[in-house]
Amino acid sequence: MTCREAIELMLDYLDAALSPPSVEELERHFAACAPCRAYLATYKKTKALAAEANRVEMPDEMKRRLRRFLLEQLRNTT
Amino acid sequence: MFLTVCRKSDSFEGRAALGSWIYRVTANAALNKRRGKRQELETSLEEQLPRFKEDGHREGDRAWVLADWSQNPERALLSGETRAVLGRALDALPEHYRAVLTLRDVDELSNEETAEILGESVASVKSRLHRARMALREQLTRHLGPRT
Ligand SMILES: [Zn+2]
Repeated sequence: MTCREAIELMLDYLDAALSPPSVEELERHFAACAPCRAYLATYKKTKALAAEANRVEMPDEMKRRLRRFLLEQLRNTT
Repeated sequence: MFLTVCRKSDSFEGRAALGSWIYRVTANAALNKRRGKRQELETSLEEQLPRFKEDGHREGDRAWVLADWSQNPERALLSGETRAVLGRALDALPEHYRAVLTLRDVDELSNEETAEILGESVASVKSRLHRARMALREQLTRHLGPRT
């Protein structure tokens, strides 16, 4: 497995969506490849940081009003 | 896009995710349209994806391909200049990439749910999510650099 292939599989790897043989092959690559270990660690951290930075909670009342508005829109368009 | 979301909203009624998502995505879409930046953003995203040599190894100095800043404390990564770099990188994403990133990583929907909301294929959702994460990772790595 090349580094290009390893990086391509990271999304499915983190979603636990790879078959057991693919996981095994990928983890063998990580064990032998420091750059891909660094890439995986920073890729995972980036995912966590982006989620945290973006997590602006909307007040519940605003959510309710928005949902009601969307449902009205839906009724009007169908 | 607003109507597309409305048509799909019945299947997602009750999801707290929808409210915050629609707010951010429509705001971002309006912003990008006003800026007329979509094409430009796509091009700059390409430049932030990893490059590979013919043998499949990543291009770049050894110190850079080994750069691992993930052990820095999260509160440090989410404050000061690093937070600003992340904010700018998120703003610079094309809107349809940011929509995928928001639904998957912030609202924690599945690939399938995200595809349904956006009216896209699962393959396209996964490809955009992966590219968006790689672009953000690249910006953070350029800022934080190799460990000294
Ligand atoms: Zn590798």
